[in-house]
Amino acid sequence: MKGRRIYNRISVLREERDLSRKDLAEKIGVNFQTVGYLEREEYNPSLDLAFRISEVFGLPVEMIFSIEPLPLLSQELLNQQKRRGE
Amino acid sequence: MTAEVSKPNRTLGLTFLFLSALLVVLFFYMGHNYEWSVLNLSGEIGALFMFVASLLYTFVKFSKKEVSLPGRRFGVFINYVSLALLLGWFYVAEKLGMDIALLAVGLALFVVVVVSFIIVHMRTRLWYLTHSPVDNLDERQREVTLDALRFSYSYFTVILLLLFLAFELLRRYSSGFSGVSIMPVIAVMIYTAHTLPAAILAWTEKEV
Repeated sequence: MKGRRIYNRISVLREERDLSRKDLAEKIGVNFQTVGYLEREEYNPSLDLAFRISEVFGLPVEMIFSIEPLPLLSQELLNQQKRRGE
Repeated sequence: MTAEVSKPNRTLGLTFLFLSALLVVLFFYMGHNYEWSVLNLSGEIGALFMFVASLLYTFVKFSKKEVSLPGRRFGVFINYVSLALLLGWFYVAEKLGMDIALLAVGLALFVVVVVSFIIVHMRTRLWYLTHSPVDNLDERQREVTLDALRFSYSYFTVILLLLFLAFELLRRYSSGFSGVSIMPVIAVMIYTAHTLPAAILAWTEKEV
């Protein structure tokens, strides 16, 4: 049974932290090509791997992974600012 | 990523390749024209071993690590087609008798099989993926390798059944086919059993 697509922000978060695919792969204990598959959302990680990724980025899992397309981080910040301003 | 190789290494590899190819032809020619002897046979095996070793060395040093998906698919296709032709060559050589032209064709086919094997399976490291312990693979690699092994098991069984069926039909209905050795077919099947999972990965994986 093919699982549903899980969207993620791994690519953006990795770039933000100036990590190469190889660096991230070493930190989460996978092959660097697997990071590529994760970033392209062609592979859904196990729960264990998802938690390891969230530990490396220091963010809750739901901020990195979602079953719905994730909005741009800049858009989310803008929305937050708007909400605070109201 | 391109493998860096110094000029002396290239020259050394190519020199050994040329010399061993020459030795293989020489020993085959001697064996064909004169009585086979232990010296001849061991020389031939030694030369063949040297040829394969220098071929492996040269191509591992020369070729790129990353092979594109169309490139890998083409490699898989060439590998199995040349293998099938090599199998046919065995039977043609058995029937007609060996001469220098037939030997050259056989040698060329053998080179194509070895080179395409190195490019598709070894340089891409797909061979190691399907032959390394499960603990050395990450969860995605385990998943795709298991899938490849599962598919190759089914494909291999079908190929084997069809091959034995064809062999049995030929044996029964073709008068010139009785007494033909099945050993080359078994050798090809052993090679296929070992390479099929990695070939499936080479065919399906987007990035290796």
